[in-house]
Amino acid sequence: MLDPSRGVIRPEILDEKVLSAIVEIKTRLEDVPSVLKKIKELSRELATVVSLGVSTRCGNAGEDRLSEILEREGYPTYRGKTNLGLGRVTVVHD
Amino acid sequence: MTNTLHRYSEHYAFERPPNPQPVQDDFIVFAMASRGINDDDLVARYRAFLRLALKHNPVNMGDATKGGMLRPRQDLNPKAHWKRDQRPNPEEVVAGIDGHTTVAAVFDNYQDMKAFVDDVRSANLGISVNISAPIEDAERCCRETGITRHSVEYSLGFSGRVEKLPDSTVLELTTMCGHGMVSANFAKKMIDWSKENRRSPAELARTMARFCSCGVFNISRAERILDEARMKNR
Repeated sequence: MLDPSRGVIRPEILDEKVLSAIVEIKTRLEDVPSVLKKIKELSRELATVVSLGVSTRCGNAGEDRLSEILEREGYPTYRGKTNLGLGRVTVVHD
Repeated sequence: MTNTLHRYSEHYAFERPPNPQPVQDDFIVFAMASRGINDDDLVARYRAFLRLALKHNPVNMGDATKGGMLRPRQDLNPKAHWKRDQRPNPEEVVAGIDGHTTVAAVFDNYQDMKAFVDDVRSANLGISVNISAPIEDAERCCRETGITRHSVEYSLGFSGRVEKLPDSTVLELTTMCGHGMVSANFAKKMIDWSKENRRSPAELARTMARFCSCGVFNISRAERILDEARMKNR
């Protein structure tokens, strides 16, 4: 990217065709509805299909505040990935 | 597509039915080590993960760099499709792991998935483990195995030019390979062959599974979908 803050992509790759491209955006929880709404609006201007996913870190008891927001906004939340938190640092660096 | 996240079901239909049928035969558990963080002895840990899975009747297992329990072979030509050995080879998956990758096990029922997750928790392998399934089932599994979820990612379905997508039965099959290696036209052909009784749903599902490059294609669910397709739109 030439300018990540504005999402400006290098001109020589703008005409490339790709099988899939992933765009990731990090935002605050309260901004999730407006970001999703904007993505939905923009997706109608694209000549392809957009698969939308959204993730969040859970609280200390495993609770997540995102699902309530998504359901309120009318998004389907049936399926997803759940990280079990079993990973840990095992490599010791000198 | 992002690997296993966007597996299509009625819940993601563009005109959603009021009471979509729950998906009760598609549960994936996958593991991934991070470079320089917990990738010491990762081959042994990935193999341990898959060997634990083998105790709980996985319907597929995979190494993202080499494929699943059913793989293409370079010493056969296309005519061998229906005469070849159709038996899955989980040992090939386990033995083939040789470095950084993602490993996955697919189950066609909740109990097997839960029992595997319980074993993985007890084994304390130290690598990151995810369940890709209906969120409520994953949450229930965590509750029943004493695991506190770290994070969740929701599939919110499809938008944009959805009129370009194939029909729902085809999507149910093709989205089970998140790398897009099971094409829509191929799935349509397999559905037609099932309707025409040219091959059994089991043969067709196994043939489709060979194209999935990471082994998360659910052979059992595909067989059910292909079987049910015989009764649809005849």
